[in-house]
Amino acid sequence: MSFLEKKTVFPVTRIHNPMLLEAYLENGVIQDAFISDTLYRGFEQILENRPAFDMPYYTQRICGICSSAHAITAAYAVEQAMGIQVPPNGHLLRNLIVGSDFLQNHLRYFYLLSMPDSFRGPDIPPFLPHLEGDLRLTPEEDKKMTEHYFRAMEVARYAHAAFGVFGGKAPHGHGIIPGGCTMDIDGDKINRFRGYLVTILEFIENVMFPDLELLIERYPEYIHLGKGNGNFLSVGGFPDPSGSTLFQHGVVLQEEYYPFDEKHITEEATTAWYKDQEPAHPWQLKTEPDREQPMGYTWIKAPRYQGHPVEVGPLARAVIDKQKIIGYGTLGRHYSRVQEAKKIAEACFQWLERLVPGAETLNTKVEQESGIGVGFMEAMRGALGHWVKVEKGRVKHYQIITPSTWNFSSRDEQGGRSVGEEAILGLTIKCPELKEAGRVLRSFDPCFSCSVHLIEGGNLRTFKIQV
Amino acid sequence: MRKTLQKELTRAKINLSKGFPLPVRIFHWGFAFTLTGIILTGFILHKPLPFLALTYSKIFIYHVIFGWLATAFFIFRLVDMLIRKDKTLLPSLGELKNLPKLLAYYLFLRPYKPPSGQYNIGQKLIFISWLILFPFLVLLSLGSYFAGQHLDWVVKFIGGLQYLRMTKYLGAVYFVATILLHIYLSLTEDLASLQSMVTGYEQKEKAPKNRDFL
Amino acid sequence: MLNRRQFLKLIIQGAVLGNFINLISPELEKALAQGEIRKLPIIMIETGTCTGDSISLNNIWTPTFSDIFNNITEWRYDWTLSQGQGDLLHQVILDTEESNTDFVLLVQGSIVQQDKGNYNHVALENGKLITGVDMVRRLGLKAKYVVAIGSCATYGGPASGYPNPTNSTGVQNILPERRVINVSGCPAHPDWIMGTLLHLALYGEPELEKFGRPKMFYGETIHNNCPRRRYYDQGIFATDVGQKECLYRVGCKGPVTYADCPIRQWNDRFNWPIGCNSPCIGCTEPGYPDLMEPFTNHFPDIPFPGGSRATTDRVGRGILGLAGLGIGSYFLASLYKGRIHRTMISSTLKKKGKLKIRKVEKPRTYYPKNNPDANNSNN
Repeated sequence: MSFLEKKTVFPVTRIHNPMLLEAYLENGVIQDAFISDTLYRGFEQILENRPAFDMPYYTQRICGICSSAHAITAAYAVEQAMGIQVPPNGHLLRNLIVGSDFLQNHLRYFYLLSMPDSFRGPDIPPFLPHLEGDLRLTPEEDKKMTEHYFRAMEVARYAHAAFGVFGGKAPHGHGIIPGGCTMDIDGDKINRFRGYLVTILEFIENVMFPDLELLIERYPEYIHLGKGNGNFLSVGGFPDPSGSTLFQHGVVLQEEYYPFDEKHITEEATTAWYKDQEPAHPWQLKTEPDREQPMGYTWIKAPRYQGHPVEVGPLARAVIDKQKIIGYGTLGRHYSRVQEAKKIAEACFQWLERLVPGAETLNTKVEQESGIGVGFMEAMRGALGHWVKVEKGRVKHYQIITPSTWNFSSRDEQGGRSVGEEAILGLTIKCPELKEAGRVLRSFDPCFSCSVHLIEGGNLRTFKIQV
Repeated sequence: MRKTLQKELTRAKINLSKGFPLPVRIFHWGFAFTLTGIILTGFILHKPLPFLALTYSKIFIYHVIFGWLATAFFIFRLVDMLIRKDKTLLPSLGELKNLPKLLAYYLFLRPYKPPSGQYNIGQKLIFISWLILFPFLVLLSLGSYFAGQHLDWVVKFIGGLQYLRMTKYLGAVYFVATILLHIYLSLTEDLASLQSMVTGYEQKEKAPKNRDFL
Repeated sequence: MLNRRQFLKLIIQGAVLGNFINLISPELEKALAQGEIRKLPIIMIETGTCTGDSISLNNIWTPTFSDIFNNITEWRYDWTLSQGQGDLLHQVILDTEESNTDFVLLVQGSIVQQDKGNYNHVALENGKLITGVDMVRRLGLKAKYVVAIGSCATYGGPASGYPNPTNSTGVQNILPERRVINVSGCPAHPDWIMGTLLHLALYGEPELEKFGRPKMFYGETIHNNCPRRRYYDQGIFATDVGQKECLYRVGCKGPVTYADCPIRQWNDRFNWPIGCNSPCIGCTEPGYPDLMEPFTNHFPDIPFPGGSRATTDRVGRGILGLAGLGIGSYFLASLYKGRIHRTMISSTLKKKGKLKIRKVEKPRTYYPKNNPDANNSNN
């Protein structure tokens, strides 16, 4: 047993909500790592007994940056449970709302969250204190990047303004409800949405792509640094009224392609602060917090696909859609994300053209008052699933598995690490505050407010690590 | 009472005894009318009926007018109570002991009511609850009427406008339920007081000596 | 420099024209140059939040963020914007505390109290995790102003929904000894947040209304300023969500919600929830969301022990139904037992003293004692 140096970084910033990273280093190389979320809000408990029709509005409050993804997934689940038929224009409008939210997220993620790892900002807070070390851009490029940083903030607003055109307000929009979209279509709104979209697409092509290339040029080793475990999952997303989807669903387990089947998803809580739970399908799951759990170190449960931890996100989508991939590491994920932003912006143009002004967008006719429904949607950061059981119009059971739960799950019974923990193993640390690890972790675009059920103990764990 | 009617009654040798005094009668019917107005307009404002395309701004104005009138009648009765030192509405401790007996009467466990004055203890409790509830609801209504200008503490005390309108709704439901009870019992249990509530006199015949009813 | 009255005027003008910051900027720059104001140091603590308020703040149309960072505030500590991480960033809080500067504490997210606050940790100091509630209290007592943004931080919000598994509450409840400026909303409008911060920088504390919200933004109900008010006044109502008329019948909370959404509107000032044909859900009010649910019904659900819920309307109808049932059954029973006949007749008879009555075998007939006519042999 060798001597391991323990380093704890809290908070790992520029992700949504708190992430606590506990790394065990040997000669500056990460040998083991625990990632935990330090917040529990218990949304699944809160949602019970509420009216099923409120679910898209309420579940949005789980996450501020991917609000529309939760809304649309909850809407799918409730529609399935209550037998609601959505008119074609409703589907298109909802795709547009979620699509614009995707653009907003990808822009903000790239510039606000991940970019400050690579450039030196001006000497004002919040860029102070600078996170020094491994900044490879020249001063001129730093200056240009600062400009792009602020420009991206402005352009991301346009994405949310586009969201607002059909969604009422952003974030936490009102447009998506079970049965379609509440907004009516007319030329003015299409025109407005189009205007925003043009600005965004222009920014993606002229600013974001060159910046990504610059990063790839300066940080070439990061293309492969921070690889996951080779398992990918996508549940498919953006259904077209004609039946096809923009993102395909599927699973890749060690380069083997399989179709995605909801039955293989299990979730367990062996090392999370919940009452001990055997791996079970979300229908059997309960959310009972228990901070006395001896093995616990996080609030994130452990979802597994056929027992394997899988990676979700733009890279997984690119793998399953067989898009161009430059690598499976940090910059590989960035590359997929930026490509995807362009793909979605272009898809938005198509959906926009197919809208029929004045056509029906909403149908709230309910066929049955009770039933069960599952909603799946690719959210900004990966696969999102909602499981709902409705009785007499009220929710009796609600389970959510979010993308960050997949990527940063707690360890399972066999001690299997999540993709996030796996990715930073073997990373050589030279900079203060484990900057390299932060860089890799951010490439997953983690959103810990999403990991609805998460905690951390009063004192840090002190269990021994075998090497 | 109209004088001609009085003459006719004396000619027919009908004996009248005094019933409710004039202020009580004015209050009763005025309050009954305006309260009905408040509750009806209130329910329309609460849940608009789709087939009644009513002009909402006007309904609201009627609601407020009825509210002010009812408050005026209420204050009138309150002043009247104080001037005449009228204690008929106030329940005493001794009467409270009769409450189980009264309930037993209504559940057919006792054949007759416990003895009481003008009002029995059940009536007194309902009237007292109205006496407390009505000013409270008026205060809440004024709070929402002047929202943002005066009486903000009322809204704060109740915890926001949503609680306020829930309280008003449930208060209205209580009023409707108890008023229904009141109307039923006054029609079936005590016709003489209904007479007296309209005319001010009640005509009661002497119970026959040999065959006394209760 | 502007005085308060002029400032408030500009706020209203800005809300209508959507160019508040253009109006205020020259004054602001002048004041900055003259050294009348200092940049406002800001520390943002995120407790049980969805970070929606950060995102919403990022959506601010005027001023731009480069202006905010350069000229208005010193955005010192914010999990979504700060470059540093770990101990490096925590040092910012320690430095600010030590230097005794006047800073503004922005709190985002509900204060989690369950298990002494251990369901939420926000900082690591000397190897010990600090809970959100401790951190907010610690900084809140030192800050010049405490601003709670978003529904969660102000009144508990969605995280405190029934059954409130984390025992969440608003900032004011854990800081009873000092005033907290509440900028509520789910999320709060960026103008509300920035406008309040700007007011703090220029004039100090804004005038607050009954629930601690700045009066300039939360002075009137949505209903009073609603562009669909004329539909309401004429009694024309939407029968389902997604229609163009007044949404009162499908649960709009506009009449009970204080906010200036109708004139300010959201994002690029093009749309807002009611403009999207969906009801207002009352997100700026205390008691949101439990008091506002179901969102398609304007009265909330009442939770009963055991977890089940019923709408207020149903409770009301239930009470009325019970009353009707009681009266009806009493009427029928009285008819059957002959009580109605007896009371209607006897009520017009004078009673003298207390009469003793005893029941005889013959049903529905009552005789007083010592009655010679009684065909009863018992006396």
